[in-house]
Amino acid sequence: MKQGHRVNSEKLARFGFSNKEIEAAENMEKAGLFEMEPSPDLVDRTIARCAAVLNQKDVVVDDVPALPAPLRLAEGYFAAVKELSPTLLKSKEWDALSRLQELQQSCLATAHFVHSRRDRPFVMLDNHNLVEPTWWSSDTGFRAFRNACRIASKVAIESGVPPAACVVVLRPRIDDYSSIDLEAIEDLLRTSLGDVWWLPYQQAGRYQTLDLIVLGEERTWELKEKARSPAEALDAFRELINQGEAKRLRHQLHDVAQTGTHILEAGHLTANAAAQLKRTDGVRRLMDNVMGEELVGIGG
Amino acid sequence: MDVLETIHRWRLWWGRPKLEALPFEELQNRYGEDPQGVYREFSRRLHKLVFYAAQDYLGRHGDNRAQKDVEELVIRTFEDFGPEFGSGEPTMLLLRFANAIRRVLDEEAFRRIVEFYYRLLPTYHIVDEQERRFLAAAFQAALAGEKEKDLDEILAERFETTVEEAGSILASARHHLDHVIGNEFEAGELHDSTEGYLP
Repeated sequence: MKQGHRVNSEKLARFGFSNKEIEAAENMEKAGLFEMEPSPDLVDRTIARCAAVLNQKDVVVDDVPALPAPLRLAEGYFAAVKELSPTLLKSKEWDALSRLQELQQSCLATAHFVHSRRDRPFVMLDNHNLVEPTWWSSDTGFRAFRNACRIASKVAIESGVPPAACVVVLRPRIDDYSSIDLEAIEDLLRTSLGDVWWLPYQQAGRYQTLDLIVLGEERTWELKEKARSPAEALDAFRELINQGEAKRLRHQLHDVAQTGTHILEAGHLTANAAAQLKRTDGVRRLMDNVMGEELVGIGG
Repeated sequence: MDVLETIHRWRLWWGRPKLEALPFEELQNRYGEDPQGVYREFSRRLHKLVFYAAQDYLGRHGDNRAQKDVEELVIRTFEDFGPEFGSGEPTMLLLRFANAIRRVLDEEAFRRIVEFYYRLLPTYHIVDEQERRFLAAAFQAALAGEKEKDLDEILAERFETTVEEAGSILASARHHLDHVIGNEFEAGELHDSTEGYLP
């Protein structure tokens, strides 16, 4: 052994390695990471364990499903829009139709933002006091938007970019949730692909009465009052197109998220959340704990 | 299979570089032909660095760093990434695998190896085969030797050269790496595919 070291810094410097590289190697040595080496058959065992996953044909996405169908549909849609009369374009029916489609389209359009800016497709403040958790699975408009959200997150994950982020503002008390609400929330947790934080109501400040989605670079959708139905909620969302505002809100939501409890990380439950969800009545327990943490904080 | 088809297939394979010589980006493009072979090569290149990262992780989270526990984490990391290997932008392959390391281990564990991890990307663009193999092996070992041998001595033994030759190949390879980083990638390309760690 050369002077008791595995990293010979002098030699590495002579070979032209940078200080950064040498320092990183020295730090690993100091941390004792070179005391063990991988077993010679580790790659074989890895491949044996991965075999089932690798043989899944659908894994190979090089055979991209044919795009012509949706493209043809989109072309047909734009051709139709061009031919619609001005009266029809001002009608309530058209307004309702385009509103439903706009949210989904804006969500899918974030793919370009993801690729060019390498940032999350969208960030969202999902307020349980304004939007019922059950609507995401029971209402077709919300379901379609949720699906578009999943696609946007998948685009991000495939591109090595963080997926969508969602800060959930909880209701004031655990008793404000019915068992159906809690089931819907558990379903959302198990199917989400993004990052999720839970924020106790008392901690939410100005976000107690706000539901917010910042899509891509410039689009913000805002809901400021509780809707009586999913349709009314979708109607009441107001869209703002402003780059500066979108950027500011992205930063704010990022800061707010840090004050909440991290529940999902890229679609995977955090260790704490996973442990609690394994138990019967897991969501209730988890939520109760998140609310409790906040109360402890106030008391302290 | 008729003769023409045989010749056609033979021509397709003729002259194609071996998996071990392919840059990471092209490795992904071969996945459809031979998933297990390609993933084996991918694991061969990276398992040692993931092993070190897993040791770091267990050192901070577990009571001890038993070999079997470390190796279980390594296998789990590759298992986690398996389903998404063939998807997404080939230029972002290492960046996507970095996220799998973060998922199974954590950010801190990844940072332990990041200086070597992302340099493997341009290393596989070095044209000279010997230089590429020496430098890749050095980064995969996180530039460490063994108890009784320095890095150049190990490489000399492994690739059957003298120790002096090994040192000179390594120095030349390291010099060429800077050239590759500076000239072989479009503006911003390397920056984007290495989370800004390179150039």
